[in-house]
Amino acid sequence: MSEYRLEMRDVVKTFPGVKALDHAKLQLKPGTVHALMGENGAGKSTLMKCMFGIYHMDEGKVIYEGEEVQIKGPLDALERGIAMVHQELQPIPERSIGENIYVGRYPTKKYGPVTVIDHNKMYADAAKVLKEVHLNFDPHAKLGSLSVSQMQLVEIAKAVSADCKVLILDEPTSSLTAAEVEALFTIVDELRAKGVSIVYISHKMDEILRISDEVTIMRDGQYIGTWEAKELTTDMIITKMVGRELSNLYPPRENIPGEVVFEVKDFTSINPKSFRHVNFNVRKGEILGVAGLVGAQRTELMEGLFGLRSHSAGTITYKGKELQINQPRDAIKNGIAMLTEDRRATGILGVLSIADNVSIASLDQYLIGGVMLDDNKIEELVQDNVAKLSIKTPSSKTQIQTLSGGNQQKVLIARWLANDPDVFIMDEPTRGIDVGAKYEIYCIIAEMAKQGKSVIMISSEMSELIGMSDRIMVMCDGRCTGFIDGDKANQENIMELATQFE
Amino acid sequence: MEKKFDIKKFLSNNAIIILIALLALFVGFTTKNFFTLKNGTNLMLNVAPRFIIACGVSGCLITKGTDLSAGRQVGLAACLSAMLLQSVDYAARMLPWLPNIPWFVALLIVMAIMACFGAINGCIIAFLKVPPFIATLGMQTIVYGLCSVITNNQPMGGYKESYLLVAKGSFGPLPFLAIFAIIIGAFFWFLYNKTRHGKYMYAIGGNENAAQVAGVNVTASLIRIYILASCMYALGGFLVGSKAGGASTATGNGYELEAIAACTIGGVSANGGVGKVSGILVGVLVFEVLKICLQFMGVDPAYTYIAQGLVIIIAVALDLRKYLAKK
Amino acid sequence: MEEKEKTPIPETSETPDTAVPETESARPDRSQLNAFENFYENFRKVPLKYIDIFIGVCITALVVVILIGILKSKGFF
Repeated sequence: MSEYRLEMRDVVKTFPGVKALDHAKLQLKPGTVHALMGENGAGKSTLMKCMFGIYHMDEGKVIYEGEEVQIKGPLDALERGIAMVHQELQPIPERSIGENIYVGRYPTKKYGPVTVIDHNKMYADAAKVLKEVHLNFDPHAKLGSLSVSQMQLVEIAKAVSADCKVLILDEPTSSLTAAEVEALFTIVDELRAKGVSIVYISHKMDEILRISDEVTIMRDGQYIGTWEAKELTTDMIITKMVGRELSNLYPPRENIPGEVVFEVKDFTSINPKSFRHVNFNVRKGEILGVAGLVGAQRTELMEGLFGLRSHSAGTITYKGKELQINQPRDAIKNGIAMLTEDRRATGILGVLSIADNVSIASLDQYLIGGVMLDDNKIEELVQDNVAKLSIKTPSSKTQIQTLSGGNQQKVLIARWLANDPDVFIMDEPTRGIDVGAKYEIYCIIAEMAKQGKSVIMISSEMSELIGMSDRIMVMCDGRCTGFIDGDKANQENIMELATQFE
Repeated sequence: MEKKFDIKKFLSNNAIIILIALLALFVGFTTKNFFTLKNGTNLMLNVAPRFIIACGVSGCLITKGTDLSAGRQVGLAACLSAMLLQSVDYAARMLPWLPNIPWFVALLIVMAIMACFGAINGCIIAFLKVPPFIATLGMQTIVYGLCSVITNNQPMGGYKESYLLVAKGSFGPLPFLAIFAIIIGAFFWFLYNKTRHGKYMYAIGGNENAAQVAGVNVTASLIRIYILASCMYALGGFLVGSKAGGASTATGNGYELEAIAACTIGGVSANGGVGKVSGILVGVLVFEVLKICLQFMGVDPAYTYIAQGLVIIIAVALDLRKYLAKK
Repeated sequence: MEEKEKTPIPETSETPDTAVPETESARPDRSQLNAFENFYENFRKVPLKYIDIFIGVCITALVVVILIGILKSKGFF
């Protein structure tokens, strides 16, 4: 019992219609990195929020340092020495870094009867904390002046500054570059040496296996088990997370690439720092992966091709005909579709129903008398897609924003397929989607290619690119640096081309 | 636990409607002649033009815009209608050279003219990307100025019989005004639910960027929405003029506030992408029932004014709450 | 120069297949809001409780105004 610094036992939490936590369990030893894994919806974040007092548990106990406690909220948790770095940042960009670190617990001093914030102490402490996590930002600088990954590092500094005994990191590397991830791991190692218990929530298998000592896996709100990290492999973790054997992460592909149908020459953005002089082509029934580091301008290039960004030079040739694309409608009319990177911002029509989301790009096809919409035909289309793409939803009238990420993505894919496009650009199609749904989307992509469609897939997941592409185009800093055949691709040659800065 | 949540939510979402309904019941049971056909008809006559105007504004609101020029456009439309439909032998005729025109021709002319204003609003908002709040605020003053110039700040009257009959007459038990409202209501219901324009409108309101990516012609849709809105203000102004028997530069003053608030009460909100015709009708009814109740009780109009203002504030506050609770 | 603004946090959220009140607080980019929403954002930091109180006060005021109006017309004041 006392070997654990923090224990959560038999935690039950229900929301209307969903049992989010079903006798979940967690046992943290001091001086360990304890990974918490599970598919989206498995209950990881919910469990953490219960620990933190953000949610009220229906049943269950939290035992901290041998005593049962009731944690009333984040500040209470922080005072006891439990800190959390959230997945969703809550920064106050207008205020300084120091203020952000100490928000809610500013150091104070007294001027007689009046208590004021001790700014000097705050900034001195902030500087110390930043130094501890190897960041050399000026604590007086506005938080908004930092990049997203830097802000995430400040969040981590904030949690570390609390001199905590338990630190929870929820997807801490989602916005970090490789170098920053290394820095984070150094900090984690140092904290572990100091005796801190660290909970590490992530989907990134290689990071988990590298940094953690123990791994707890959850599924459907239930505790599945805890294992030593060194006894686990990626496949074992996935099997336990999903509850079924997955012999392969990627489906077999039966597509046979044909002749070139889509050609891009000398495509250059109006922004000199963005994509320039890009040449590539795609064949019929081919899956072209697009690799590159963050900032390589892959998304910008595809947006330019689709008409969402302006270009200053270059041609797009489709089936021999040159296309003029100035806005998405032009691209769509010519049989091009694009699944954007951020489906919440530019993909789903959140408040609208699934039926509306699926049909919005192809309404011209369902008209009676040229004016009135044929609701029956639309319903047919929706049901067709729900079946074909295994979209899990209570009804076609459900608001799309209530669906899980994977299902939302499938609805968007259905939207584009309704127009029967020949060229389908997909920007990070499986980002933020759980393992099971990812596989389903890979199957959909493979099927599309088999039917003769050309798929251009931007991805930042090496294994996904290697596992799914027939050919990989690599970009670096706005230029296309090379092509690699699918069967010859590996991490090294992709990275080599991705880092060929001028 | 679940039952309680339901009632509380229901109450908060429909607080104003419940309040006004209670008021109506109270007035009805404590006075004579309230629950009569005559009073009901009166209510209908007041609701009709307001409903039409609210329908016009609703498109702007659903696409997360607004139209602050609605009221003044109504006024200008009423004045233009007046000028075109004054009785030929009226001494103070504004356009003495104008021949006698049938009222529906005049209506079409006024709609065409106001549609131009709508087109200008739409273009400024869609092409120049000026925020609708500012664009229509500017238009509001311009329209008012134009109205003053055209009418020389003279109130107008002396309408021909057929124009006055539009508001006074009825088809059996149904007043003409009600028929106009029903036709417009049906038209908007069809437009919003069964046409592409409607879907595009909701899409733009839901997420304009995503709509753009999905191939919706956002510019064209927005311009159409503002043109349609102005046509509704034209019709509304035309009917208001007929009902009042006169028009001046003061006609329609402040109508947009009530129209927007009515839409907000009825479920069209700043959240964008939602709004039903039935809701608009309910929202308009709330205001008109409030007015008619207080009028019936002989309450000093000043108090009614204050009450209306409070209703508007409550409507906005409830909408604000919904917005913050969502995020 | 013209970088399109995206919400900076990639979506790796826990949204189970059925509706659950877990929301993501991605603060919306203010240039994409309309006038109403911009106005509403000013109140983001106000706890819902105070807004509820404000609404309650307004509703009470409404009832009071109506009552006074009616009573005044009946000659009670």
